[in-house]
Amino acid sequence: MTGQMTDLDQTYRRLARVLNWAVNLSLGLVLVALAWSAAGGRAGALPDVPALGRVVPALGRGEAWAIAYLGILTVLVTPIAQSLVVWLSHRAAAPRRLGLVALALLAVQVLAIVAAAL
Amino acid sequence: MTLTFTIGVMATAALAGVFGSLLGLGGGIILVPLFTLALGLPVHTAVAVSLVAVVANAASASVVNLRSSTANLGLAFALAVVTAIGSVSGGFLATSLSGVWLTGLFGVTLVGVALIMVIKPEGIRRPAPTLSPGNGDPTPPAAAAGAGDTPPADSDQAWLDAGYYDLAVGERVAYRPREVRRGLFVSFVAGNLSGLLGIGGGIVQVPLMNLLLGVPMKAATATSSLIISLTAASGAFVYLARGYAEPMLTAATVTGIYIGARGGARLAHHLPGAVLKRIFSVVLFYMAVRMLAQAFNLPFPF
Repeated sequence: MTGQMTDLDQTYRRLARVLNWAVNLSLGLVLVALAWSAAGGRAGALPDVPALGRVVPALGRGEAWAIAYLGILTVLVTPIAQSLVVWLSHRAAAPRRLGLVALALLAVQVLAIVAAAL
Repeated sequence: MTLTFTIGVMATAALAGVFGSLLGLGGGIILVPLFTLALGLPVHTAVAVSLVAVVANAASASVVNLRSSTANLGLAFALAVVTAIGSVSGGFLATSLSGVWLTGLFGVTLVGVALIMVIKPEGIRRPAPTLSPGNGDPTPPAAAAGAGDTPPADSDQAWLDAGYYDLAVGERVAYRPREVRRGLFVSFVAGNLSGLLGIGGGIVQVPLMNLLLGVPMKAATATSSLIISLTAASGAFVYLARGYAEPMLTAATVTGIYIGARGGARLAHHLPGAVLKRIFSVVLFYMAVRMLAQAFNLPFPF
């Protein structure tokens, strides 16, 4: 570890990059939404729609609302991106068990979204 | 949502972020009572918004922890699987409970957290492990971490070996977590609390990793942040799908807590943590009593 970077070191860096992007993107989106709303943009309340409709928001509820929703979704799907990065990085590289655990977590995360939407 | 209310939400979230950083908490444990008691938000909404803010805050902290390799990636993912399951089930449980029950449960949890702060303001921790030779290899100093005997290099848990450079002592600390299987149940409970109450769950995860798994305190805190960033979102989806996480409110909260947490982290270097925790435990007790009074519809003079 002192000289050459191991696969695990690279995964640490990759994951930090993904998280950094996601945090910045999400924060940027929510700031735009807040500024838009302050400038008079529509930020309508959540209408009474089925649960699935709220997970995948329809257009027409206000621009600021939609951007804020996108910002929140960015935060919430980041864990899936993290699991994907680790799984793809350790499918073949050592430690393989980390790849398997990441795949298991990915499955739980996807199932959680499906269960929440139903 | 009016501009004044938005600013009020941001200021409240920033306050929770500052105190969260000062006290070593995620912020959710402060945010939910502030939202319900000070802003009069329904408890389910407060919990939902808090959970999303906690994920964003933990993700932001994890960037630094991953760059410095302080977080243990293997351990985080291993515990995250059960923590995520706990978080989803906590979310479902919370959304099926009435506001009265949820408020009462939060009040009881606040009492517990306040008690921990009074009894152990410096945090429950195992003595720092003996340092490895500092050659950068994660040679498992299990004996140093309190495991008793060093497991063999090809042990079942060798993939969980980790190490980080501790700036405070100027050396590399390497360790191998032990008894990870025993930690899985506690992780499930932490995840459940997270989804149920909109908190990160670090208050359970950090002592678990330090005391039960023998992970050094710095690594335990960093790994806990990573676990929260991986798992709390699973519970948050349940609230989002049921319409509790109002986007504009959440946007203001995420922004406020982000700013507050950064400010708090800077202040933390200049303020006495243990004294702060003792003082703040009184505030937590007050909020706990008010939440319990609200839950049971009892008159509260202040």
